[in-house]
Amino acid sequence: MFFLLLGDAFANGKEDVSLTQAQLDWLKDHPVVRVAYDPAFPPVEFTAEVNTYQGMAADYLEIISSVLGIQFEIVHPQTWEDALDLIRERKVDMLSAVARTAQREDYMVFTEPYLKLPAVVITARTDVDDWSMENLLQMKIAVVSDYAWDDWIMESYPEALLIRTPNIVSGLETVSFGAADAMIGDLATTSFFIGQSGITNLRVARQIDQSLDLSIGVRSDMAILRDIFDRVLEAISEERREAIKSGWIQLESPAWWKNPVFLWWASGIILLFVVIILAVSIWNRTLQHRVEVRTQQLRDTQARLLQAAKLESVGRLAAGVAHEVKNPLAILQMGLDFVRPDVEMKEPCRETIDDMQNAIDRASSIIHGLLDFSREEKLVLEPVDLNQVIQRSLQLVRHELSRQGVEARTELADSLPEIDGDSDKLQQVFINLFMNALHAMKGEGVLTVRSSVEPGKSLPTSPATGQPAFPGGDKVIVIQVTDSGPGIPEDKLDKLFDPFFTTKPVGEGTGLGLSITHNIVELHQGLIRFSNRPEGGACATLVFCLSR
Amino acid sequence: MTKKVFIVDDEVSFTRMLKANLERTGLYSVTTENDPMVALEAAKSFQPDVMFLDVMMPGMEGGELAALMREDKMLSDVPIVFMTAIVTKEETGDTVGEIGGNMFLAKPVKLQDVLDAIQKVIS
Repeated sequence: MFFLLLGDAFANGKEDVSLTQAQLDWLKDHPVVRVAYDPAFPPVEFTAEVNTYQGMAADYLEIISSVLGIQFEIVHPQTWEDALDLIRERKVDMLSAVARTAQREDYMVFTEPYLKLPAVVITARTDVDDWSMENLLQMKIAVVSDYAWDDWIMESYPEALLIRTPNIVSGLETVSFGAADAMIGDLATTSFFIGQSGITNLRVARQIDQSLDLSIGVRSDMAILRDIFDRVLEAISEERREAIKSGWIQLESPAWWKNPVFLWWASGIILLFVVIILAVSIWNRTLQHRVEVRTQQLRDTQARLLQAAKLESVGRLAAGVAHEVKNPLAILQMGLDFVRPDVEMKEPCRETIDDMQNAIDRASSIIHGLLDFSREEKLVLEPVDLNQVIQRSLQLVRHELSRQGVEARTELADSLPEIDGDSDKLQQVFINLFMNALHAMKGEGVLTVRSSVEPGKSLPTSPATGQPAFPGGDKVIVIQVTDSGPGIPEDKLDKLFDPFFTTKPVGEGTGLGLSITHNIVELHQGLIRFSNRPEGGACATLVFCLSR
Repeated sequence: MTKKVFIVDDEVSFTRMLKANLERTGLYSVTTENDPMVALEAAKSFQPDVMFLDVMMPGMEGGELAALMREDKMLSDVPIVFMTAIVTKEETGDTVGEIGGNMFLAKPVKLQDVLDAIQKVIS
């Protein structure tokens, strides 16, 4: 007997297989070996496409075939039970992957195991912590009929409550639906089918000590073939084995998108995106609101700047006109003074001279008003009691009031805090307001002046002027000048402070009084607005900040 | 004895009318000058008792002319009254007022204002 080294057959490895002459002769006499397999045992072995034998076992057979120079004739059974029948009846020579059991040793001999698969307990139950065999035997256990687990449990634990299923998928479904408490199987095939079936409520309860050791099972009258297989299997390197395993065990991994870790991260990322989108949406709305508010503020500021520019250009024009007109007026005045002595004695002429003088005086008054308007006001600030200014101003106009039959009433605060102001300019303001009220009433009526201290934020915005509520939470002084006249037409309210705007007939006003008044009040950091009273008449409200 | 009044203003009609008014009183002898550039020499030649100067004049303002007159020994003590359209009566007082130490008359001036001003400065 000599040994023939079959080293060239391993394409990738360097293993050498030594066979005896008797083994070689047997192979020579049996160039074709019939093989049956489990058609539903992936990734170990299975029927892929129609009558296509694949799996880890198939890879091993390929190696064996190339080493020994024999052909394997694959017989495709319908079930594992059919495969067992085939070898029992010796209609095939071998089973490519089979676990040794006492019952099977009646008709098969086994190589040393070449595939060892860890065994696990699969369950859907989450209320059990103890998965020891003692506890497991109290439960209903699903096993695939005629699988090694069936034989092993029956042999080791005859008292076990077994639910036999025709295949692994059926067994997993039995557990998933709760018909069985657990299933015993190998990790590789159960994982493969769990991933493929999409069953999501199953988990590995524990790994059991018993592993599924798979061998090549050869019909008992072909022990020499078993020996030959053992020599080849022994020669296969560990690297080769790992390569085969890794090539198929990936199949049993669940799809990457079913990985719980991935799902957790994906959920977290999606939730984060939702939160970010919500936050951005809320931020956008907030920004939009702020933009709208700021835009409105800018519009208001632009309007006020336009008003200021208009007043400033009018002011410049007024100064120029005043100067140019005053010189001709001076000439007229000198001329009138020259002819007056000659004509004053004649009655019709004297009236004419008086009319001419009145005209010059009126023109001069208008010019003075223009100059006042054009002048950049410089205030002479000092502590001012507004009540005193009001009293003084009323005194100055009292003659006009009584001449017209207008009653003046005052409701002044007992103690009004002083403000930093120019008393002369403020007097000009109040005189202007009193005279405007007087002209509005055109006869009998009541002029009322009130003064008080009030919280700043309680004041609403002015619809007439568009001025905002008084800026500040501090207390403010409020002065109100009211009359019992006809009130101000609503369409005129927003024009009151425009230069040259007047509601008086021609010749009775320059239209500059309220512009100047508005200017003086603003220089005092105050605000002024007009409104119509519900009971009739107009109301001028002035607000001044208290001195700091 | 009449007092001598010197008037400088670029408005020809105004100076003619004011001169006529003042001389008709019989109290004043009046010389007018419409060109401020030659007013200094004219004043030195006339030797007035009082001078009325317009403020806004082409070529030289009244204030500048007044400064030149103050530097001249012959005119330094002669009282000066400014007349101008750029101040209001309120700023000058009722008729004649003072602003910054100088006497002002606000245009349009009345003859009586001028007469009162002359009396005030000469006395």
